[in-house]
Amino acid sequence: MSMRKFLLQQASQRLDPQVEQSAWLHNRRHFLQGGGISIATAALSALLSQESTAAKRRAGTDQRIGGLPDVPHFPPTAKRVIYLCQSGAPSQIDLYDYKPKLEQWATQDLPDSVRDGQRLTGMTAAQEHFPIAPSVFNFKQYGESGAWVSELLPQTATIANDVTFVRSMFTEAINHDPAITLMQTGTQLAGRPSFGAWLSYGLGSVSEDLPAFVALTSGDTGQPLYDRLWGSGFLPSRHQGVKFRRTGDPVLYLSNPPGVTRGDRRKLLDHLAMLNHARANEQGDPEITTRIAQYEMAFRMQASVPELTDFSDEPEHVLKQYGDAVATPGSYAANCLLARRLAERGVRFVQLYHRGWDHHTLLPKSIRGQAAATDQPSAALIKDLKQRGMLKDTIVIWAGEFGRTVYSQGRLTKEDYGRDHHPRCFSIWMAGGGLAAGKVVGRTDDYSYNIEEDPIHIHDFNATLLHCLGINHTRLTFKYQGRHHRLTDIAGNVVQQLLA
Amino acid sequence: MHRVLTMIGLLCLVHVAQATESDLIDFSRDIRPILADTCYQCHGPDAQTREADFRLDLQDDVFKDHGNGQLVIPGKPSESVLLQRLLTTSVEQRMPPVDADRQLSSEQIELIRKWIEQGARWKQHWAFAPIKKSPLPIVDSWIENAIDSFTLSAMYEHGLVPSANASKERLIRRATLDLTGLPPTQLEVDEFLADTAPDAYVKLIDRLLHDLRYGERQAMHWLDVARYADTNGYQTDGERHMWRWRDWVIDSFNKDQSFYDFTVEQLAGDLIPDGTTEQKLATGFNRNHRSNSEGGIVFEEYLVEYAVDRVDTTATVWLGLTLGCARCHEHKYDPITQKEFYQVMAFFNNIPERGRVIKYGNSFPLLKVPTQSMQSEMDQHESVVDKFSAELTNKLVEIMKRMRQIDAGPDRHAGRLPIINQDLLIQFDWDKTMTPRQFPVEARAVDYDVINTAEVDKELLQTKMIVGDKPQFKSGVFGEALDLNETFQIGGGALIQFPGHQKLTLSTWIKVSGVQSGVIMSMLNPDDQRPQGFSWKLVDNCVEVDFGPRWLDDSVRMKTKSALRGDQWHHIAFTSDGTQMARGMAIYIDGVQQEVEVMLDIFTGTYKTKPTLVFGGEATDNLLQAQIDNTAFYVRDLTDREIEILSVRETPEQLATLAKLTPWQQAKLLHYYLDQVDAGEDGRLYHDLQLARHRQRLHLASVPTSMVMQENNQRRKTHLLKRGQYDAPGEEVSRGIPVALAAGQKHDMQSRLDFAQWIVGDNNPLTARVIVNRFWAQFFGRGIVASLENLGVQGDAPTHPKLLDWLAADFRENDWNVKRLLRLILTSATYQQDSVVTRKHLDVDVDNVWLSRAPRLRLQAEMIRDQALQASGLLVQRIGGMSARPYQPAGLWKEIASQAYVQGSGVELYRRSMYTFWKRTVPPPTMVTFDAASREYCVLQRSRTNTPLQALALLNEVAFVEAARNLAQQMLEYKAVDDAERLRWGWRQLTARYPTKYELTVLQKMLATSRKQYKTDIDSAKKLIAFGESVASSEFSSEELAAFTIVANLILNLDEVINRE
Repeated sequence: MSMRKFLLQQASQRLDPQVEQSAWLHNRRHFLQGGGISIATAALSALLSQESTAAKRRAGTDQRIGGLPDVPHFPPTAKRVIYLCQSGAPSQIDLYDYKPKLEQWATQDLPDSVRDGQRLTGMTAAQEHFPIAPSVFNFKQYGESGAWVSELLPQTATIANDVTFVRSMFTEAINHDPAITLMQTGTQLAGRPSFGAWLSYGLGSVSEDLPAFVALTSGDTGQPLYDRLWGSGFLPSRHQGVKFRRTGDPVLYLSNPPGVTRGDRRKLLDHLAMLNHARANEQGDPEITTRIAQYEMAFRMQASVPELTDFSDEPEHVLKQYGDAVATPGSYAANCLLARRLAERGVRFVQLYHRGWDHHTLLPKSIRGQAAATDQPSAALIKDLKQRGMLKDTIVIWAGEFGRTVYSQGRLTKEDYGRDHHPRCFSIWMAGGGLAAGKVVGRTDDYSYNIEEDPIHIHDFNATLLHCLGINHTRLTFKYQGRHHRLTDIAGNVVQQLLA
Repeated sequence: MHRVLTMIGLLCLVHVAQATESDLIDFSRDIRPILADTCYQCHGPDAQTREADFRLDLQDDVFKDHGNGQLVIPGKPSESVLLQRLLTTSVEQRMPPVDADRQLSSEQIELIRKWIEQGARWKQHWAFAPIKKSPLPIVDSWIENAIDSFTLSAMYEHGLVPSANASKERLIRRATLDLTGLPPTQLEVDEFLADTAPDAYVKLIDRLLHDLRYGERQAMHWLDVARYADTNGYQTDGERHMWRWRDWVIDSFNKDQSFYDFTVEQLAGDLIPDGTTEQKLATGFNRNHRSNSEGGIVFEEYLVEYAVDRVDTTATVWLGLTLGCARCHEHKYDPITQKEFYQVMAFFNNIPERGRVIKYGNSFPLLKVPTQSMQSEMDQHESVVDKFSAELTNKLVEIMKRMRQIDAGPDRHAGRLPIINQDLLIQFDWDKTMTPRQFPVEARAVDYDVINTAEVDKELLQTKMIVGDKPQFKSGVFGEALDLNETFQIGGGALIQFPGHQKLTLSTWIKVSGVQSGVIMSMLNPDDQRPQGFSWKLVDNCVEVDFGPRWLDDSVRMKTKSALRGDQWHHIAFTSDGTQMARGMAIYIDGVQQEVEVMLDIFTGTYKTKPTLVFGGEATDNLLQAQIDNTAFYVRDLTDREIEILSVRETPEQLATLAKLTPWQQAKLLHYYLDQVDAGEDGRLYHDLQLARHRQRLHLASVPTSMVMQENNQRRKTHLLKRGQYDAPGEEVSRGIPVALAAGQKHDMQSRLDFAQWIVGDNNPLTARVIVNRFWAQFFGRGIVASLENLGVQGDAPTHPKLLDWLAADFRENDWNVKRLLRLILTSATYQQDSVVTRKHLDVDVDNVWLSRAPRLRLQAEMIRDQALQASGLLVQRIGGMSARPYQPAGLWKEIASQAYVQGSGVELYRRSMYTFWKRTVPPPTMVTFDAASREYCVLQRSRTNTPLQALALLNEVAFVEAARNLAQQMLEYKAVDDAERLRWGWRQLTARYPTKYELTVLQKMLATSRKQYKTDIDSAKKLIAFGESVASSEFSSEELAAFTIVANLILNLDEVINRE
């Protein structure tokens, strides 16, 4: 019997006064008579056997906890999402959006006709010139689609046939905070649920001992992140993402206090459950039974999370694939592997954040480091998922919050330049779970300034992802302040081109 | 008992009446919500999305013929076009269209049919109708006050009867938690149990309403409402200081300020004629919103966001309306036009603020707001200064006669001090040396913002100069001067690596050859391509200062309009008052403050420079042909008079011999004489005066500021913004309130004060309902209108409409007296019911909508921690004050943000949770785990979840484990004959009742198990009791204390403990 069923049964027993009475007396008598802790403990140790082993978990029960009855709206092509969020906005011009003509226009002012009234951030608006800065990096074509990829990303180039590069994403925001908030919650202002929270609300969880939505962070400098990016907004707060930490307890307060062993904790929980059961019997409030269950899940998490974050059961070749940094907890590489392990254990939405892409100055130097830290692990994740047959129902996204300008911010030399924020186009890639593979979507002009073909707004992008998850984005709504809110606000179209 | 009997008797009667009542369709309750939710999108107030040009929210339109027959014909459903269109099978004809997001259920269509059949009576939306106080519906002995009359009749209608009264233990715990946010002490429980008088309970409520912790508990909720926090909330999320506003809120509730004044002062306290500082402080309510300091933002965009936030929040909090929906288009459901949204916004966008705010610290407009004790200290300083200056003034004539004999007096100081030497940090004399003289700065005036803001390096002014270059000296004003013919770098010059908040004065003499441009002195970061830092230079002999993190867009840059004359000595000075604004800075030439051309007028960010002070040009090709002399750095913005004195070139000795002195010369000589020559009574008096002024300044600087509302002198124009976008202005609008809410009153208004008075005015049907509904929800877990934030057309219908109106009217009639309202609620029989859930409850009313029992509510985040602190004796009870920084897992901020969390110690660890430092982008983790709001925006109702993360926090977080150990210690200290008595005491400390026999047995088993465990593992016992900063008592053995700690840990995790029953 699953723990949930057991507890439901407990709850239903309580409703019947006679059963209630006898169970209560029975428990009590046994408890008082027996030398030890009897019935209650027996019941609870039955629960304990639910403490699932890794093997059992991998077998993967599709039993769902929570979620809306009508969701998914149609059969999904993806069950989960791993979102590799490149915070700070990577330069599309130096990574994916190859613009050979810039070379001949180097140092010339960006023509007004291209800029076409686009507002600039206050950091460059007062600049007297907007000199064109070609990328210093070499590009080559890869895969069947002949996608251009910069020399900075040799490993990403090797997965060109598994992913779709999108060069025509656009947004309205030009500053980090509103832009990343828009990317993750569908609006620039704080207060709306993030993508993962919507999924937790709509689809519920399939993991009995892990949350439905987990956030991971790496990178020590760069633009700050905010709890709201994995927040639940107006949805009940149980849908918010649980941020796994890289130092100390991976999950806050996971460890028992010093001097308290797992066995001690078990004993305390047994006694606590007895008292809480007694209270439930007397008080009749079903929430008490729920709380007992939550304590049990907490206890299971205390075992499952360390097992999850311990990579010692990973074969050497897998670890190698992610690169040396995988051994450093909290590195992007370690987080990519952790994301796969979470996905494997049924977590619906894993959101990685890697900071440090905000290159206003010294771009060529700084972007090298960023690319080096993220290229191999990102590619490894795709390959790893594919090897395990998980890529077909897992969506992986690699994206920042906006693009960067073709003109240089500050000093421009042959080797050095900086780039300001640019909302009108940026490049991302996506793979797996019913999405097209080996494709390039969208085209920008010769300046990587304006989109010439297939513009895709963040709302379209989100609508498409939801579609893969079996959700009609206009129907996953929550009424708050008298309005039926949704992730895509009042916009969004499923982009057919992105689908397999 | 007799109550129950009467009720059962009545029950039968009511049941009969109820049948017809509930069959009657109420348009407002049953029909409008359906139309609004499904049809208003296309047939509602918004003309932009309107189809077929009729509105289902207008009575006239609904009963009109729009071409195909009358939409609704009362009594004739089958002839009504509306119903025909809902029922038709024709895909073209059917409404809503098949592809519409929202469809009608057959039950809903049936309701509409019935409504038409019953005569299609139209009603105004209930919340926009005037508040009506109806007579009490029912009489029964159960009833304690008016509230019960309404709730009881509703119970009867739904086949329910009230629960019995809760036990006295349960009642005192419930009421104490509800009114103070803390559990009762055992002494209080004993007293209440002992009081058998009939009014014992009423006396209890009165006592609790007068407890000062009542104000804290109410403020706790108001902080959510007001989106209060200690940081700015965007991007870097730097600190701000608004706790004086929080103090105001606590105080206001404790004083039982009328909710009328509470409202008016928060919305428009700055406009009240002859308003007090307190009233201005109150307006911080509308400065609590998030504000952005990110580099590169477009100011206008954020000015709009701030004003919109104020409108949204104000409308949600007081009107229960989603006014914000009308920002981009006409409201879809409520009668509010887009233009009206901007008319309301016009009250809130007229303050002298900036789109980009100060990164660390408060942003203008702000106010110095001393606490009461600070104020009395300020008054004291003032009287001391006044006394000394009066005494000195009386003797002035006599002193001035004496001051020319400066040679006659013995020097009070060994060696000559600079003339103005207070707050002087260093001075370069340039007399054949590059090494400056350093002076001890006596208790440097530290600004509140400077010392309380994390960015500031506390070692900042520890100067240690390293001199490398070989300078050339030429003849100067006083001895030698430094020739700026090359670049001189002086290392370790951290002194001007000051934070922008630091007050300062730079002073130097300068002689320039002819007309030139070049740098006098700078402190820069040459590694960064973007110029940042500080530079003082000449541009065609005009004096320019560039100061800030990005000279392109985030700096103060100003230049004098007058130029220095070439080839002669001038004195120049620069002062800054620490506000980072051009208007707080000044450039002086020869003692006269100059008119300046301001190129950039504020910097909001922070900057980093190399700790190298550079005299002369930044590059060799940019050298200034000039000499400088007596270059000094002060850590205070000197007064005009002091700078005048600095600019007097003659030495005191020279002045003493002059026949006639200018006023400045006279001032210099007098100051010198009293400061450095006269060792007698007058000199001492002068010294005392200076010291007193110094202390006064020091004290003033330490007084915190708070951000407030303030009107621009000249009113900003307000435009309707198309699609709500800041860069798409439409027609200009005047100030006003929505016509639909004006109730015959003029809807044009002049001032924010008028607006505030309208909010709580008699013509406004919303505010009183909204407010009593929210207070109600505090005690019953849900509002009479469940959607606390929305009483508009799309909000929930009130479950007890007449009760809501009765309470609202009563509240308004009684001067919006909050304590009176709460007393009414808490002394009602409805509130005093037991909370046991029966099978009947679950069958008939699982959500307890009809209030036939008291709700069982999980305590909110703050209360859970506060309760543990109080029960364990750790809680520090101190009302108000700065925010505290309790335990937090290390590195939590650092991982995702730029700042480090500096955990406090001692008292700071044990203050009530409402004082916990609130960083918006990384809120305190245990608070968030228990559903606290992020404070990024206004929240009226928190969710109440039940998660494993909560279990982990309660079991393992250091604060809770430390509380358990302290509770254990108290159990051990408790004078008792045996363990059982100790355990009973510990249990009661949290639950206000003694454990049952069964419960006690479980506790004893737990104790026995733990004892056994720790007896064999003393090391573990020691580790457990060492967790947390407070030191474990050595009176008890480690294993005994550890064993009891486990039991206390168990008690603190009981479901009963974290609930209020």
